[in-house]
Amino acid sequence: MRRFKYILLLLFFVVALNSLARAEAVDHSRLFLFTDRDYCISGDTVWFKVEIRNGWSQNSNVVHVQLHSHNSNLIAGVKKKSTGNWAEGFIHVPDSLSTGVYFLSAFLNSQRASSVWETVNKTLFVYNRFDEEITQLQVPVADNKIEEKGIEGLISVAGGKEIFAPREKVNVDFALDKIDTSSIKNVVVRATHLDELSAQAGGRFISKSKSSKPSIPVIDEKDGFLLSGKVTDADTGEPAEKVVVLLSLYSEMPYLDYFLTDRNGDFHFFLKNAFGVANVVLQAVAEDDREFNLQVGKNYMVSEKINFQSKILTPDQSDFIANAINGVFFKKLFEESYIVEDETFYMPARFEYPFYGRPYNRVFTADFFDLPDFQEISRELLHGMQYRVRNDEVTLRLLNEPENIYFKSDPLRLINGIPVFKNRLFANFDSNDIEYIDLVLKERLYGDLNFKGVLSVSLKDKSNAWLTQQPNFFRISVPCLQPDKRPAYAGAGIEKENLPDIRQVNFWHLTETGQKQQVEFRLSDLKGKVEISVEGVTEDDILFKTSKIIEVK
Amino acid sequence: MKRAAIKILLAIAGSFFIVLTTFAQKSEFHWEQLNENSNRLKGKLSGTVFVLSSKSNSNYFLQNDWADGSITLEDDDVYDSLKVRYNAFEDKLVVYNDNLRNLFAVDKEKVKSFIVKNPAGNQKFVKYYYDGFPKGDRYFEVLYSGGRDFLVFREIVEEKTRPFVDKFGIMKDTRFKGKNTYFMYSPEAGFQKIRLRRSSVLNVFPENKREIRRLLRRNKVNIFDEKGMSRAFKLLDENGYFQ
Repeated sequence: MRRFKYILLLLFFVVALNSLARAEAVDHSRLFLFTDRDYCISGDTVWFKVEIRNGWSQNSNVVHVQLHSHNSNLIAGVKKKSTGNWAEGFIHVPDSLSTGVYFLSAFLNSQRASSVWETVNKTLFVYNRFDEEITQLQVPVADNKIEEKGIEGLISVAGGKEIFAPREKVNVDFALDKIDTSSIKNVVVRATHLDELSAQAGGRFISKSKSSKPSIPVIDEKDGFLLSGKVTDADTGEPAEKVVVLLSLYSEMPYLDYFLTDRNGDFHFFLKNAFGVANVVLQAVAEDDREFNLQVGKNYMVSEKINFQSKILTPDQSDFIANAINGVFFKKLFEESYIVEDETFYMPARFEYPFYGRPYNRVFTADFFDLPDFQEISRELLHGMQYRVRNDEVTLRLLNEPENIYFKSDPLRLINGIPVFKNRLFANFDSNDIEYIDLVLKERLYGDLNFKGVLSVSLKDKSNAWLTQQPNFFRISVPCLQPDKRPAYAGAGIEKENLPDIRQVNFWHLTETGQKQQVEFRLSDLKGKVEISVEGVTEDDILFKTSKIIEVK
Repeated sequence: MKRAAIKILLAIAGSFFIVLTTFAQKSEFHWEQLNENSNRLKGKLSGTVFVLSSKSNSNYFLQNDWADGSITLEDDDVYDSLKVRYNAFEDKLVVYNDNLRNLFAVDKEKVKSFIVKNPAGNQKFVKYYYDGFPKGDRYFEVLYSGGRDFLVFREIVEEKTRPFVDKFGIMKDTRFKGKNTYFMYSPEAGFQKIRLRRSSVLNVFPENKREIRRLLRRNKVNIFDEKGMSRAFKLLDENGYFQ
């Protein structure tokens, strides 16, 4: 009996240990992020490059990059589609962000398959441009800092020169042939103004991360991203189940998608190849006439807190920060491309025809004489459509062309690609308001939605002002995939002799290993130290960085 | 009394009509049939509702019954686990929507290719723009894919016959019949009509007739049917004639 008890006890411990081990199971696959600078002034734009490795890029090519504080408060986030295995983009550091050390990190939506995964957080020292004197700063303790390995003799400056004058040209040889190409295919080379504080106290820190919203589906984001949100009942505030959320947006042609909310009121959409900032119209439709509230959520990761300690700055460090802040005013004054503007929304059409199919008839109202209202337009121009007003109620019926009889219920009605359910909305449109009208005189299926024909009115005015005051319509500005941009210092037009050159980054690019590289760059007017570096990650996730310091006097 | 009854009936009918028009406003949603399977994130399949008559059911389709299949759209979105049938009379791909219990012809302009899974093997159909007569997008079955494709356009045509009485006792003067047209295809060369004969292949390569004849003979490839022609295509491809 006693032996039996011991066996039971042992079994219990084994099961307990096993479940503990499972709870702590962490995905150790990491994404490494490289930035063009280690410090910035609030309001700056920081550029990043992220390599998607571990075979992920086959299925997932959209990287989420976020800027967060040490206690994981999200400050900014972007989504960038990779080209090859690298995603290159930028992140705006808010103007109002207070001085401190923040972190940039990256993740793929598919990584969320593990409840916890390891994240590499790269420090970004941010100095608020309105701070007058910074003498003390909270910096991360070195507990989880990743050690960087060095490779000797990678960088040599022509002539062995170490001191340069402002705007002088520098020639650098990178002996990238010394790097084993089977282990490291690409490296990031850069020359940037050195902040000794961020060089000493900054770096890359490992932390365990979790999803901000576990209900977001764990799917591979290939060429697109997930837009998620929640619908709640406007009266009770309870999550609204079985509500159809319709998403409409307009680029080259109308786009529609729908999602039936789950018991938590959650909805999700996958927007493929949508770039820039989209004006999305979301609509909550239920079987009854309830009113709803709708909110779009953010997909980001919550990292465990990174411990900080207080550091008193040396007078040199304080002076450096003060000079950097002063430089921003000149930057804003003289650099036209200081702020990178988001491009307008574009989403290439996936197919030749809109989601509602090939129109039976497209009527351009401008081709005909002016008609005062939609009833007249339908009567004169829209063959196969009945517009009837009875007891102040408007009914619309389309002809089912293959059967040659009229449908007994309303068609799918669209205004600028947005589904509407009130026929009266059409009543006041005259010929001058309308660009064209599409009619589809067939019974259509779109997923699991069934339409008794389609009436699509495309207005000249795409601002959708008619939506105001309509219940259950929500107009939301959604940042989609970040369009491809290049930093101003990477292009031409920086060598304006009569203007101050306050570039913090002299050059920064991705290059292949295996052969020697020679780079010539021109220094800016900023005095101080410039760090020329080569950074990369081996196949075994070992980070290496080799740098050489030159001085500008 | 009668008048009062008529009034009540009219009132009921009137209110019924008002209720109907109110509910009809969201009639495109079959609420009872929408479920989590309706939420396909990567896209939705669209098409026109297909009405299956007994005539079309027994005559129009290449497959006698609904088969498992998959569809790849022009944007490379793949739809699996569908019940499909190829309507060779109208050159339409008809799919069964399980949730709505409805048949629909998938929008042809969105389809890139589709596969019909049969017990004997899979049939792969690809949509190409045919610039012959009549012009337009057509579904071709791919019998061999390589440097050049061996394609067949499988049609069901209705042709005039002598009057006859069918199995239901109805007199008819037309009959549905399968018709296959074979093509050699490459994006560069376009469509070349071929027949299931050796001479048809040799005519495509007038300068290499003798070599090809010898090659086919040595490899014991006889072209009498689709299998034989597929083998001939493979052999020619392997020997560099399609480069």
